[in-house]
Parts: sequence; structure tokens; C-alpha cells
Amino acid sequence: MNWQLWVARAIEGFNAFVLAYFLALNISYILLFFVSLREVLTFLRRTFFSDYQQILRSDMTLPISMICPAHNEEKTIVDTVRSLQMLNYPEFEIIVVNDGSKDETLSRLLTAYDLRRVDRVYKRSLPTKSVRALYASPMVPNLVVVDKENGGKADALNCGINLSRYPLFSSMDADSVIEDDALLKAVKPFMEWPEETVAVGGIVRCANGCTVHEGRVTHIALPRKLLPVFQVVEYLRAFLSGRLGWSALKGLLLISGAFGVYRKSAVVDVGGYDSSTDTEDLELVMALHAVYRERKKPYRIVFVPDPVCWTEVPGNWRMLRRQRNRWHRGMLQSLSRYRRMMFNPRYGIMGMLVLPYFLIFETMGPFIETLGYISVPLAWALGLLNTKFFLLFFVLAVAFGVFLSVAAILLEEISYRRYPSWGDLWKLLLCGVFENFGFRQTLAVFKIQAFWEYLRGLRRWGKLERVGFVKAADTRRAA
Amino acid sequence: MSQPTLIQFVWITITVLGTMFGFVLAATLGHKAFVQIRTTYERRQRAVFLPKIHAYIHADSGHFGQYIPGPLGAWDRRVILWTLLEQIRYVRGKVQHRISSAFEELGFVEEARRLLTNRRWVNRVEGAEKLGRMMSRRPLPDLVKLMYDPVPEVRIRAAKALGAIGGLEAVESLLGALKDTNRWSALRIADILATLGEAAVDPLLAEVPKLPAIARVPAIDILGRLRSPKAVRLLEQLLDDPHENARARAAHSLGVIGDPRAAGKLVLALRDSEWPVRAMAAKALGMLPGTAGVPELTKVLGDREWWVRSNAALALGSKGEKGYKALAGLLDSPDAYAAQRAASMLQEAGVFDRFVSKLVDGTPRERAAARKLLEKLVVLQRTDLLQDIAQRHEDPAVREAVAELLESQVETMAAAG
Repeated sequence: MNWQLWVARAIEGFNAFVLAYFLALNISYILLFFVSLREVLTFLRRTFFSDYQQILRSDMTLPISMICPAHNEEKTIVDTVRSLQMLNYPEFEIIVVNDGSKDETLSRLLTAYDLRRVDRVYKRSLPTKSVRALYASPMVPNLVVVDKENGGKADALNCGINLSRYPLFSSMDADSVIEDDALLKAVKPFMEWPEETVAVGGIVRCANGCTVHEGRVTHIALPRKLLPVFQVVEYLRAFLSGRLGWSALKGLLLISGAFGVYRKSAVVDVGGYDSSTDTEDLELVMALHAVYRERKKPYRIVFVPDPVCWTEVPGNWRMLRRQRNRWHRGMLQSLSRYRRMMFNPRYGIMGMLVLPYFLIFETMGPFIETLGYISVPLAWALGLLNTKFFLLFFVLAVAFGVFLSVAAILLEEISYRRYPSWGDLWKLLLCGVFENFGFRQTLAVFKIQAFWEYLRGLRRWGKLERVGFVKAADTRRAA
Repeated sequence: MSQPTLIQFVWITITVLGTMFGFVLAATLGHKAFVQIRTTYERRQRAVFLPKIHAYIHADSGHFGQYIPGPLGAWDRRVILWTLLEQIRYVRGKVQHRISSAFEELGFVEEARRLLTNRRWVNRVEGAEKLGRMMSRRPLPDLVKLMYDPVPEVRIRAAKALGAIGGLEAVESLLGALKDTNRWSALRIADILATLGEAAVDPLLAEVPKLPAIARVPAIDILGRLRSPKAVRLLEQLLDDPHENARARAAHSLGVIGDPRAAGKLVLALRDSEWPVRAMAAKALGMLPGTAGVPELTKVLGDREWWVRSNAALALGSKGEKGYKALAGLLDSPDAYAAQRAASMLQEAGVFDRFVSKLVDGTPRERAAARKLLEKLVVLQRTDLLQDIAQRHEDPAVREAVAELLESQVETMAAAG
């Protein structure tokens, strides 16, 4: 047998593996979609007559500390605090942690809220970089601004936890806008299962293209540029089709840093946020899973599809690459750190299903996908694959991608219908098709780059450049 | 696997996927179209029906059928049902009675009653919710029966409906439902009981001592929310309850009611062995009018639990000049926490700002008192505010006086080592 035959066999074998892997991956996505569909329908029925006003009126509602870390967020910080002030919730405090910003973040807050220096006595439950000053506002009594040395988002969140007064805290991004009743909806699992619930995540939606007026999203629309619209579809798939399904299976691995509510005592118990990883949100949730499973304590980490947090997504490829590199590096760090849980029945569904899934499909997926893009056309070019099969495989690959995107759009349509116009629906559907021609492949390449950076031990925060929200006045001017 | 078999397999997969895709796409577009058509139709019909509904509900007599004659289609009935349900929320007396009669006449009450025995819990919930809003007293026995439904959500909806209809028959069932360990349920039932108002006070006063601890706590909370002075005596007794959460909640409720006669008992509760009770007693004393309890609250600033100290400081901060005076007296306390907390409270209440102005425009006595107080701040190393004033105060004389005070104090402290 000559070497050409060996190469041909290897390519054929690899292609068969790619096909099997590809089918397994997509079938798991489809199964997850059906779990999510069932969960959305149940959730909608349960919440149809929900009495959130009763929580709002009650003294027994658990108070929440909103912790908002800010590093160079001068463009959005005042809007963000304004959106927090308007939250419908009986008792909450807002803690903005200025994490050593070099821009006008602090001074904009000082001016907007007439902040004054205060001294507060608080318990340092978690170690953090030193605090330079604390500020309170006579205008907004429940606002505290902390100015501290730069230590990263995790360090800033830990500092906020130290200063927080309430049993629950909510972490959020300074460039996000939280909907008025998001806290009311997110606190529900804490009230329903008070002993067990340790963390609740909400849905994150893309704010690009939406109009924000005085800290509220007043008009919802899809972005004009194609790249953010692709991300709208991607977010719908990730949250409504992915996290909701994992949450129903009690295997939620991630609560987005953009909006989540946690039981403070549980977070302090696991040592708070870890500054040594690139994705502190994923690391914290994994730590909670690990500790509670090791101690055999009942717990719940829940995703609720209702409380909405709007955030600005990257508007160009450079920013998107930075963001996705960080996310993927963080996932690799956490998977490596908690490898003891992998295939370990002691950790239940986390050890036997969730982590193996993330290892096989999320970590190895980009490599296999990219190699598939090379080997299948190569096999066709070498005459190892006939044209019919090659085309069919291509159609199948696209069909799976399109089906999953449209399925996520269906979940959105039957549940929350945030994009009410027909134009937006068609745009989403078309982007659900077109994202399979370039966007998804580019994301796979970004993940491979992230893997390389991870192996080299590189760490970069991957800070996004914000353009700020579209304001109502801007919209009117444009009109 | 041979290539023809592979091709066949891929074909089958594409066909299955294509069919599923077709269904999903049709469901997405069909759902959107259906929702939009129905919404448009309902909006149009609502505009047609609303004046007729108003004419009916404000008339002295006549049947609903005289205003909107039948037979009505399913979508029209839906529009009428939701319009009436919306209207009944804002009216009382005769108008409310007219709307309730319309529900009966159109058969909506009977439809909702039938839902109460439906196999699916979500339909039973819908039935209870609608009956609660229809305000018809006829289905009261069915709703009471529903309080024993195995699904907690159904029980709560039944409780809510009973509360809304206002049957005091509901109080006993509602109190029973408080025994549910789910905080969400307890909170909602508590809210329902609180909406019954004064009418619920007497049955509650009779029932609360008999309730188990888990139900007693939310019941005590309701007594506070009803703000009835009749509850003060029982709440004072409950400050000796064997269950610490009940004692803490009783203290809080006394604060909410705000009867100054409760101060004596609350002062005693400041010495409770459990810190949550002490914390709530301190908070409650802060909520009472008058200055009762100031000396005791001052002592509690040295409590070993931060929440108690924090509430005591907040309470003192709400007691006006007498409270500020007590806090100022603590600035040179040997207890570092008490001194710092007192400084924080005075700072946040703006007391230091007032004293700063006195440094310049006060009488000699006021100037001396202000200087003495601000010197204590420097000793406590709380110079942030003073430095801020020394740099940014609008009055140059004040800036100069504060800068001079800071400088002299720093020198004095340096000299003292």
C-alpha cells in the first residue's frame, strides 16, 4: 500500500469521524432545544398571572445589593446608575465600584449625583485591592460609590460584596441596562426555594440599535449593522435554547456577568470571585457547583428567561475577537481547574454530563469544525468524495445551523416577542441563515486562537470599546 | 460505511431536518400572524364595545344583553370578558355589582367555576384568578374547597380570590395557608390578608397565638401592616414568644404601627438574648415618634453584632437633635466601632456641615463647640470630609477655618506622638 492510499484512508476516516461528531453535536443541540421549549411553555403558564406587585409591596421581600463594577465606563456609567435607580424593587442599594478607571468615570458620577466622601465601617470578608475612598449621595440615599485601585472585575465585585449590606447581591456590567422589574423576577426562585437557591441568572439581550432614554430601553429595534444582528440570533440561541435547557436539567454552568443574583453567604463561602481567571462569572458558578456537591448540600442554580438585561455587543470583528478570546480562554481555565469533576459521579450531572459536554463539544468543537472545513473539500478535490456527497454534507451543515437559529427565534416569538415588527422577524430569520456562511466559522477560528493563547498562558481582559447607547434625542435628530 | 449508504443517510437526515425546519418556520410565522390578527381585531372590537359597556355599568337597570345583544363569537366574548375584568378593578358599590351581574349573565362565572375542577392545574389557577376578579360571591364554597388543592399555586390563587371577594370566611383558610413553608406563598397570602384591612384584625388577633411558629411570623407581619392599634397589646406579648423570629417580627411590627406606648417593651427587647430581636427592636425604636429609648439605643451601639449596632445608629440618627447629641457623645467612646459608626451617622445626616458653618458665623460659644466636635473627627482620623470642605467649600472663610483646624490638629497629634 503506498502513502497516497494511506493519506486517502486517513482523510476518509477523519471525514467519517467529523460526520459522526457533527451529528452528535447537533442532535444534542436539538434535544436541548426541545427541553428548552418545554421549559419556556411551563414557565409562561406559571407566570401568566404572577403577582410581582405583591413582592413589591411586601416587607418580607429579600433586599438586594446591586454591585456594578466600572472600569473606564465614562460613556455609560451615569445612564446605568439611572436605570438602577428606577428598578421596581422594595429595598435595594446600588454599589458602584470604580475599579481604578483612568477616564472620567468617577468624576461623571461625582458631578451627576453630587457625591460626598463618607467613611463606612464594613467587614472585609473577601481580600481585595485597597479602597481609596467611599462616596455617598445626598440625592440618592441608596447609592454608594467606591473608588479603589485597579484589580479587575472580580476584585471589584469582591469589594462590592464586602460593602454590601443585604443577604442577596446582584452582579452586573456597568455598560448594561437592567429592566425595571428584572430584580422582582430574578428574586422569585430565592423566595420559592429559600434554603436551596444560591444563584439566579437572567437573559442578556443586545442593546445595539435600541433607544435608551434616562436609563431605560424605550424602543427596541435590531441593530443596522449585520455583525450585531448575528449576535442577537446567537444570544437568543445561547440563552433561550441553551441555558434554559441546562437549567432545567440542573446543569447550568454559567450565569452571565452582565446580570445575575447570588446569595451572598454562599459566594463568600466559596471565596468570592476569583481574580486569576478570565471569566470570573463562569468560575464562580463552577465553584458553587463543586463546593455544594462535595458537601452534599442541596442547592439550586437557576436560569430565569424573563428578567432582561440589555448590553452593548461588539460592533466590529476586532472587538468581537477580543471578547470571544477571553470567554473561551476563561472556559478552558475553569475546565482545567475543575477537571477533578470531569467524569466523576460524585458531582452528579455536572461531572457526568455537563462538563464532558463542554469538553467534547465546546473545547474540541472548534478544532474539529475547522479541520472538517479543510478535510471535506480536500477529500472532494482529491476525488475521495463524490460531488453529490460533498454538496449534501454542505447542505446538511447549513441546515442544522439554520434550524437551530430559527428554533431559537421561535422560542422568542412564542414567549417574549421583544422584536414585534415583521421587518425585525424577517431580518432575524435571514441572519439565522446567513450567519452560517462566515460568522460561525470565524467564531471557531477565534476559539482556536484563544486555545493557543491559553496554552501560552496569555491573559488579557479584552476590554470592549463602547460607543454608548442610542439616546432618545439622537433618534429624534436622526429622524 | 460505503459512500452510497452515507449519501442515503445524509439525505434522510436532511429530509427530517427539513421537515422540522418547515414546522418551526411555519409555527414562528403563523404564531406571529395569529397574534397580530387577533390583537388588531380585539383592539377594534374593544373600541366598539367600550361605550356600550360603560352605558350598561352606569345604568340603573337593564340586562347586559340589551346593550350588546348576542349571540357573540368566541373572540368577541374574550374582548368583553377582559374589558369587564379591567373595569371592575377600579370601581366599587353599585357599578361593581352591575359588572358582577354581567359576568353571571354572560356565563363567565359558570365557565370559570367549571375550570376549578379541571384536570390541569394551570386551568384551575385560571378559574380561581378569574373568579377572584369577577367579585361574585356565589362560587365562595368552591373556592374554599380549592384551598385544599394539592398544587400550592392553585391554593394561593384560591386564597387570593377569597381575599378579593372579601369573605371573612376566607381568613381561617388563609391563615391555614400561611403554614406553607414556601416564602413566596407566605408572602402572597400575607399580602392578601393585608388587603382585607381592619376586618381581618379581630380574626387575626384570635388566631395568631394558636398558629405554629412558621405561620406565626408572617401573621405577625400582617398585624404590623394593618397598622391597627388594637394589635399593640398582643404584639407586646409576642416579644416574649419562645420563637426568636416571632419576637423579631413582633418588634418590627410594633415599629411599623408606630404607637409610642410600645417604647417601654421595645427597650426591654434590646436586651434579648438573640441578636435579630435586638436588631429589630432597635430599628422599631427608630420608627417610633418621639425620643424614647435614646439612652438605651446609645448603649446598644456597643452590641457585639454589627446589625444591632447599625440599626441603633440609624435609629439614633432619626431621633433629631437628641439623637445627634447622643451620637456626638460617642465620638470619644473607647469603643472604636461605636465612635466610627456615630461619626458616619452624623456625617450622613449632614450634622458636621452645620457645625462647619458655625466655625465662621457662630457665636463664640457655638464656634468653640463646633471646633471641639470637629477635632474629635480628626482624632478619629475621619478627615476625608474636612479635607473636602477645606478644598471645595463655597465660602473662602470656611475653607480657611477648616484648613487651619486640620493643620493644628495634625501638629498636635504629631507632637503627642
